[in-house]
Amino acid sequence: MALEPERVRAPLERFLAKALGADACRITQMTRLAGGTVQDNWFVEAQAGASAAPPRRLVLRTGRVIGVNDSLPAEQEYAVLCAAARAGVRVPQPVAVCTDPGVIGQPFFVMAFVDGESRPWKLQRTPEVMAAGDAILEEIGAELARLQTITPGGGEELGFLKPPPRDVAREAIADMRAYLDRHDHPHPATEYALRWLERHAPAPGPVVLCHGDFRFGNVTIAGGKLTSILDWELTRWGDPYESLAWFCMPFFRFARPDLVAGGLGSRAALLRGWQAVSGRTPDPAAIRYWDIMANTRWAVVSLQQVGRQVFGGENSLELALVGLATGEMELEALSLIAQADARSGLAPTP
Amino acid sequence: MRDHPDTAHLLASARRALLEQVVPALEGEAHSTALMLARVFSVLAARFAVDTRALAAIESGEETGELTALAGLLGETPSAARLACGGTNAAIASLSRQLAAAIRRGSFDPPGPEHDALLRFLLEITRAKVAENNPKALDSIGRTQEDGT
Repeated sequence: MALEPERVRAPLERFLAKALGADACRITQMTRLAGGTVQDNWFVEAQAGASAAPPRRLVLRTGRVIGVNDSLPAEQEYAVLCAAARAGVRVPQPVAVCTDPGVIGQPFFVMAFVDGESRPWKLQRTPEVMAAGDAILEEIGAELARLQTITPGGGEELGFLKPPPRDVAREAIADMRAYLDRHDHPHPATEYALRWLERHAPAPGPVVLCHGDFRFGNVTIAGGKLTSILDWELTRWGDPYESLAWFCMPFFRFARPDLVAGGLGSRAALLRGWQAVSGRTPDPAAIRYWDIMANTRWAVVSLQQVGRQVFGGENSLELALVGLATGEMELEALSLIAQADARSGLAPTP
Repeated sequence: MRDHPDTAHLLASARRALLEQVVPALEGEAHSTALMLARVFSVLAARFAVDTRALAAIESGEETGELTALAGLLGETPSAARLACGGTNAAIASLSRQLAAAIRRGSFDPPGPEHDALLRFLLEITRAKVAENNPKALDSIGRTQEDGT
């Protein structure tokens, strides 16, 4: 159900007045923001209290009809956003959450509007951004390390997340195989990657909070600097290296496949920022392993997305096209495996 | 026999009209949707070309490359698999399922010619999929380690 600004105005103004601690609140502007296959974002300008005060610039975020299986409902995403903010991660300042369906018809939360552009194709055409690519990547790596200070049992109330895996890699492999077993088409290339991942799985390591879709497109940049990390609805517990690999998948390099880290710059820059804050020296073998995992996982997720379109009655061209990309991730995983095997002298590079 | 234009020509004309006349006149969501439709026309054209070649092979009494390779990896005869499954596509689906299960069981784990033949086959069919769906992506793949990691 699409949000209709005129219909929700009065109850939303009452909610915002309370949230902002004002007697009254007047919405002076409400426009839908571009992007978001899973979530719907609205820019809201609200005048709270006396008209002399500057209006508040806010973003209202609510679930769209298309719900990804593992995506968190609004109140849980809000809790994650608050936890990230407390850990010092650059995120939009959380303002309020609402689970009362009487306000806009569905749960939503409100956060501060952050200046900046997030659309990759626009950023990649902005010389100021591309000139600062590596510096921005260092900032992104540093923010990731801050996020990873949140660990299970570390005091944050994130009990709604699926319990932290004891063995992130092996549990991910088992989940993906279980999905493939329910799928009507066989996927030998993905099976090959999963078998390789199983045979080379690292010993279980520390588990940290994982954004779940940490990539170019989910960050805002303004004035050649990182301004925030967005879209927390896929947050889960995971391995520290998962996000470092996810950010570097070819699929998320958009128009600049030559720039490994998000089509923005070098992975070395991303790792420098991560190392500066985490104090950990990046392990090249772990990066190679999680690169293969990231591509394989995204290949399986793309099958799940298109499955919702084909079998779930969600008639969306955008979802249908996601399925066309499965082969790209499979091919990258196969290439990385061939390179890894050649490196260890196991097999010739075909 | 059908009259001109043939399917490939129709698809190409529709895509050109969409890109040259419709897309420039649109903005916002409609603009992105029209670009997605243009992509659908490219994919349809590529798939049509591949299917036409496969059909020609079948009509001339040959087995398709994919079926032959799959049967080879599993020690089967392509024509026997085709007859048993009632057609080339059904045989490819059935043998692919067997191959997927064999990979998961570890049958191709030992280094050697069988493993290498499997990897070559998987690279080939996956590359073919990408060439149909998004040929530009072939430039991005396999470059991750150029970054020195």
